[in-house]
Amino acid sequence: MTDRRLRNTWITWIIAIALLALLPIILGGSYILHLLIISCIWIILAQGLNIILGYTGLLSLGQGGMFGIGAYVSALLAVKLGWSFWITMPLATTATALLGFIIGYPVLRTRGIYFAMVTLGLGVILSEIFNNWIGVTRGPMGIGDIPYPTPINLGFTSIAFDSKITYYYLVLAALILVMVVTYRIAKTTLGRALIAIKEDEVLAGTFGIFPPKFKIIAFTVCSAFSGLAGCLYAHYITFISPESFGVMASIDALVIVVVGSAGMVLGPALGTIILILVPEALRFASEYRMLVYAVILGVVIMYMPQGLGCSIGRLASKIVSGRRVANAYIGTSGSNQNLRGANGS
Amino acid sequence: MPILELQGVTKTFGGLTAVNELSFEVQKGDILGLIGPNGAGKTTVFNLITRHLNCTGGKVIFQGHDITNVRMDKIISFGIARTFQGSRIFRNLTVLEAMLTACYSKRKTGLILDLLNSARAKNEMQQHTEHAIEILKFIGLEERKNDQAGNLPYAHQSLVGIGMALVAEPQLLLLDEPIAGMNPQETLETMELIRKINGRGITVLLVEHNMTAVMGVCNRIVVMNYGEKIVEGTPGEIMEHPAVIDAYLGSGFDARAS
Repeated sequence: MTDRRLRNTWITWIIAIALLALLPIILGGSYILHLLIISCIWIILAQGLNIILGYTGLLSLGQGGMFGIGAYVSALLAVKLGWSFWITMPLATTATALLGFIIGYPVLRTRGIYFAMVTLGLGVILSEIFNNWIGVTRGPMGIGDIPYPTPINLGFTSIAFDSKITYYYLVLAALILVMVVTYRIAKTTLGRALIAIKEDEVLAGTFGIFPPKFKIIAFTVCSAFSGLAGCLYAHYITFISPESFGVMASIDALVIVVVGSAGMVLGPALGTIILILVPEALRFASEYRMLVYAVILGVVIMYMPQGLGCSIGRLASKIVSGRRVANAYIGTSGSNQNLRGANGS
Repeated sequence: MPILELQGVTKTFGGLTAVNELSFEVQKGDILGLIGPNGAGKTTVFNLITRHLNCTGGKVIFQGHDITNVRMDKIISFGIARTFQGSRIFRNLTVLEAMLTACYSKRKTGLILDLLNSARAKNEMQQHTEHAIEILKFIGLEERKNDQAGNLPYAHQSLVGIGMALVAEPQLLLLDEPIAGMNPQETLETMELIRKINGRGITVLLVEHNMTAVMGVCNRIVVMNYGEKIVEGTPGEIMEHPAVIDAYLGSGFDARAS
């Protein structure tokens, strides 16, 4: 039973990845590819927020600023020092993680609304730095001509990243990495500790979970994801300016996480699909796009306050357990245990 | 040697003295009752032992270790677990998940190995799950393991709290009003459970207002009032003691008349 379930999980993963890899071929078109790349980057950014908000229960509004740090560090190293993307990407991710680690120390002493305010302040400060440290960031003029990732030479052939399709596979690889890391966190002691802190910090402490330690870990992981997203964004768009990394970016990430379901590994992906792809699909009626966006938001918040992912999950488990009940009556695979489990849920 | 020793423990909140120069000992294998009128400082004593509050003065000694200044999250690895008043549990988790979360302090594999899905981590997880199921059987909640903890009836939530404490395999268990809100049948069952917990070699320190339960289950009782210990003794001695009757019913009350 467990073996079969394990194999099924693997098959599901492989099918999902294969589908994602084939997506540009199925859908085609440069514009679709652009949307897919941007979506992947947003999912990575939102996944960072999901770790700190969905799992640890802390509302961070500094996500946009951390996104910017990743973008600026990578862009500056590439443009001013001419370093290869394959060096700047890990460096930018590490630098953002480090910043999160250092800032986390004082910031994570606050909680609830105060944490939200402090991180909002952090986002604003970072955005002001991007705007005003003209000697380094060139201020509102932004940094242009950011190089595409250096081609990888495999001997017989080399993979260049100047086309959208190769860049899509690059961000897809990054996205899969981020998803796997999040999935592992969610499934293991670390995730359980984070959820315990979200549920009840004092109770978590009673059982040996030291909240400050785990909050720092969560904030560092959150920052690393944001930095990675920023770096991928910078080398894709090839031009960055402060306005992409302001408070609005933080709010967008927040909306994605909330709509998709905070505290679910697939939440940010769902949120991105709904909030980025659906409005884009309605481009033919462009004057109604913002209306559609608003209606989606309103409906989700009113009727699915725990987010879309949660509602879909509940529906799916209802269907599955319904089938289990039927099986139990027919006596195919069901046992008394199954029946009880189904009634309980 | 006593398993737990309080030496002149004092706690003041501003000008209010909640616990004043309190000293008592808990012997290994005891079921010690800590009773007293509302506001006597019983829960504060628990919070001082498990380091949810800092002592203003005095010492708490557990198995020869001075734990007066130990960090709150380290207490459980010394072997002290507790429950909270009003069954404070992880309400949004399933019963089994809550129990597994409470296993945290028993973990021997590092977080990184766990993230990498190492065989050792898997093995440990398996052991923890088996242990959690065993404890759930022990407290009689095995069938509820997949239910959301916060949706259980009140009495069962209280049991989940006890189960979470037990799964950490403590030597000393502090129970803060485990019987509050239970019907007579559930009260009897919980008393029996406390005896069974004691039978596993776990020393129990019990705060409870239900006198029948306290008198029935404890082998020794400490009575507090206004943050001070007024009497200590066996249930029989306590029931007859004039100072106790005084504290509970007021002075000038004739116990035999009631």
